[in-house]
Amino acid sequence: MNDETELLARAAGGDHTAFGALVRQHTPRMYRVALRITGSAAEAEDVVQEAWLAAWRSLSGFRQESAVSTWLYRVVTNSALAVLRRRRPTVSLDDPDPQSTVDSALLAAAVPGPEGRVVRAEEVDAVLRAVGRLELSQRVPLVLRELEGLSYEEVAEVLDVNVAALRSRLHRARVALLAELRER
Amino acid sequence: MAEIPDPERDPRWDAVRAAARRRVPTPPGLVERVLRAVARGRRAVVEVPGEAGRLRVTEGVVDRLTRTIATDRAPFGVRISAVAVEDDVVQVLVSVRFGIIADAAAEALRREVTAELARQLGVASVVNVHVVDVHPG
Repeated sequence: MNDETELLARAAGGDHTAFGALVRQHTPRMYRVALRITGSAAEAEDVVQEAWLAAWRSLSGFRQESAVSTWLYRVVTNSALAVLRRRRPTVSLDDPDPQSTVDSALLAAAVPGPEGRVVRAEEVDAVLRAVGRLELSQRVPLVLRELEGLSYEEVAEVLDVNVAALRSRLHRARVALLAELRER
Repeated sequence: MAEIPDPERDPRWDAVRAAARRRVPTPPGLVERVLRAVARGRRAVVEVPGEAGRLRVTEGVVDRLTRTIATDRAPFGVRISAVAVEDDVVQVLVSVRFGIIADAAAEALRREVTAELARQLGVASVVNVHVVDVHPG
């Protein structure tokens, strides 16, 4: 039993300190995933809170068939999808300018120095907005694989799909993302 | 049929790699808010005595139920920002679309949430609605 699994076992047994340690250790990455899936800081906070409540309720059901982190990725992904299903179409005051563009010439330039860094920040903003416009069936695996760096096997486990189907979905997601970047 | 080029070889994919490297700061206090939420999830705030026993509903359930009811029944132009249960009072924070009469929209939502919570929980709850922001039309 590794350290994380042991912490989880102690938390399942009612050890609040162990549960707190898990929360401190995993909340940053869960927030990052929630933010990248929902595109909203406020919703990402809600997602993380709901995910931890769900995790806490199902601690005793954890079967050690997957890593704790993979299990928590699944919990936070499901919470994010639940929040998005409840979402009503609104315009957030926090949204960045949706008309910003990605200039391929600037992308290739990668100029060092302050100007280059500003350009790269704008490119990254544009990528994250484009990810947010992908349909959920493409956005979620793309976030987990390309932005979180999970392996194909881990993403397949989080999403409960086989690796072949995941590879195919990811290829479509990458093509769709590039198309979004070209159009803007 | 022409083969689709590998997207990861496209020059634009560098920006995707850069996006993956971007640090996402965790909001200050989030861990503590999570721990408080989980603790609230364990605490019963509604107790309904019955002939065959007692019904206990935790704060987490009231919070979630309120959030669902408020989202489903929010009048046009009202967006739910947050829900919390503090000192056994349900607090609903909302933003209203620019041009909406804020107090009328908030009162309509308060009545809806109060009535539906009472119907589903079997006891009356005190519900406050706070307008905390305005969003564009």
